[in-house]
This record gives sequence, structure tokens and C-alpha cells, in this order.
Amino acid sequence: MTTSVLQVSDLGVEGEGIWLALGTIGMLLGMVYFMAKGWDVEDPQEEEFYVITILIAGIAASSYLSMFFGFGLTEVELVNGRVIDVYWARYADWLFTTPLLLLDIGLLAGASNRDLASLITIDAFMIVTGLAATLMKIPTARYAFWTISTIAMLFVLYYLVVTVGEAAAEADEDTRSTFMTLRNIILVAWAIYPVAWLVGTEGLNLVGLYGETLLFMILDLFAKIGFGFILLRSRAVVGGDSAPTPSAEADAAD
Amino acid sequence: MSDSDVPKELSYQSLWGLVLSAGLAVAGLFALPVFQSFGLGFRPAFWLVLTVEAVALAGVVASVLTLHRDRELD
Repeated sequence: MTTSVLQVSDLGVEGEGIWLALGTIGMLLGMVYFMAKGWDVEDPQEEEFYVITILIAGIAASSYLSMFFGFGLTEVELVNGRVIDVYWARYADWLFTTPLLLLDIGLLAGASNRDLASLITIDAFMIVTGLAATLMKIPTARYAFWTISTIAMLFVLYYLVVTVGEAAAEADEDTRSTFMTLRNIILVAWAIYPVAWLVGTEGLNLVGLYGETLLFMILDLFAKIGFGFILLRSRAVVGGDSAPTPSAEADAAD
Repeated sequence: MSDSDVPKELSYQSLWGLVLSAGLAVAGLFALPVFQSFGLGFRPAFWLVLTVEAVALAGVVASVLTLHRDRELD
């Protein structure tokens, strides 16, 4: 542990290291929970959901670990002389995990492979242009790519609501209920990411690296582990009466 | 999904693809210093990492979708 702290300290990122450590632990706990819960699953379709969701948590845990140990960090010097610490591993993580989140919800809704492929392609474009925004040295170019990436995100969310939503509308009530909850998680969480980028060190620098890392960690845990928890507990995936649907939980709370 | 397109047998080829793709994705997240040790600058090494992640993602998606059934783009 001492060695890792020294490595992180050498990179000048000791402050936010705590959030990266918590992010790693949170993702690992989520992954272990999903693995334990899905250990005896035999239903093929249910197995698919478990495999995808476990991989999402596992890759995110690896990404956080990589950032904690300094592997996933670099510096970008802008033309105005400002030097930005960039956790590039986030983007590699998002390039891998956001399509899998869309695959999870797309399979739940019963979307066609063609729709899934379109959704994943736009999503990859969104991540790559977001990454370009981060690596650009000219501030104007950074905001231009941020705008392109944000527009791509709006397309992803629109596609999710309209096209994938149409497929979900033909499903049973449990599936529709779970789809709506997961869709809303994606709509809310994903919409915050570009705002976090904009106010963070990579954008307007209104929030420091410490706060930005905390914000991304909370968003990541919510968007990945929270998403998986709701999906894998839903009656739409588990079947039978063993798990309440999100809507049923809400009704019970009322 | 109808019951008819769900074979009872697990595809071990897809399972191996899944394991290898997941391993590749994890390794990619730690591979940047290795690529740089071969003389690559940060950006080329980073784009190589992203390519590795993209290939791993394609492997995972293809493996998951064929784990229990034959699928085709409709």
C-alpha cells in the first residue's frame, strides 16, 4: 500500500486517490455481488445479462485500479500554457462499458441487432469525440469536440427512448417497468457527464480534480452498479415472484 | 426471444472468446507503459490501447450474443 501511495504521490494526484480507491472497491464489490447472485443461474437469457453486467463492473474496477496506480494518468499541456491532468483510463473504460450498458438494456427491451449496432456505433462516436475534446491542446477545439460529443450523446438518448422504447413497448409489464427505470438511470446519469466535464479541470476548471474525481466516481457507481443491481433484481430478468420490479417497489413504498 | 432459438448447449467457442476478450480488455488498461517502452509516444500508445479495448468490446459482444444461440443481423 505504501508503494502505491508513493507512486500516486509522485504523480501529484494523492488528493483524489481516495476516490479512485473507493471507486475500485465499489466496482469490485458490485462485481462480486453480481457473480455470487448469478452463480447458479442456468437460464440462457438470464445468463447473458449476468455476463454483461459482471463484465461492466469488472472492467470499471480495472480502470479505477489503473488510475489509482497512475497507469491511467497523463498530462496535456494546452497552447495557453495550462497543464491538465487527464485520467485517460476513464475513456478506455467508457468505450468498453457504455456499449455494454446499452447492450444490457437493448436485450432487455428486445431491440433488434441492427438497432443495437446503431446505438453502439453512435455511443462509440460519442466517447471518441469526448476523448478528442480532452486531448486537444487548443481550448476552442476542446469545446468544439465537447459539443460534438454532447450532440452524439443526445442522439444516443433519443435513440434509446424512441427506438429501443418502441421495442420495449411490445414486451410484458415487468420488462417495460424495468426498462423504464433503467432508461431513466441512463438519461439522468449520462446527461450529467458532459456537465461534469465542462465544469471540471478538463473544461472551465470551476471544480478541482478532487471534486471532479468524486463526481465521476459517484456517477460511475450509479450508472454501472446501480444499473446492474436494478436489472439483476428485476422480475423481468429473474422471473417468478422472487424479485420485485422497480415499479412494484415504488408501489410498496407508497 | 422464442424458446426455439435457444440451444440447450453452451457454445464453448463463445465462452473462450468471452474470457479472452475480457482478459484483453483488462490487460489493455495497464498496457500503455508497455507500448511506450517500445518507443511509442503517448498518443500512438494510447490509440493502440483504445484499439485493443474496441477489439475486446467486439469480442465480448459477439461472444455474449452467440453464447447460447445463433444470431444474425436482421
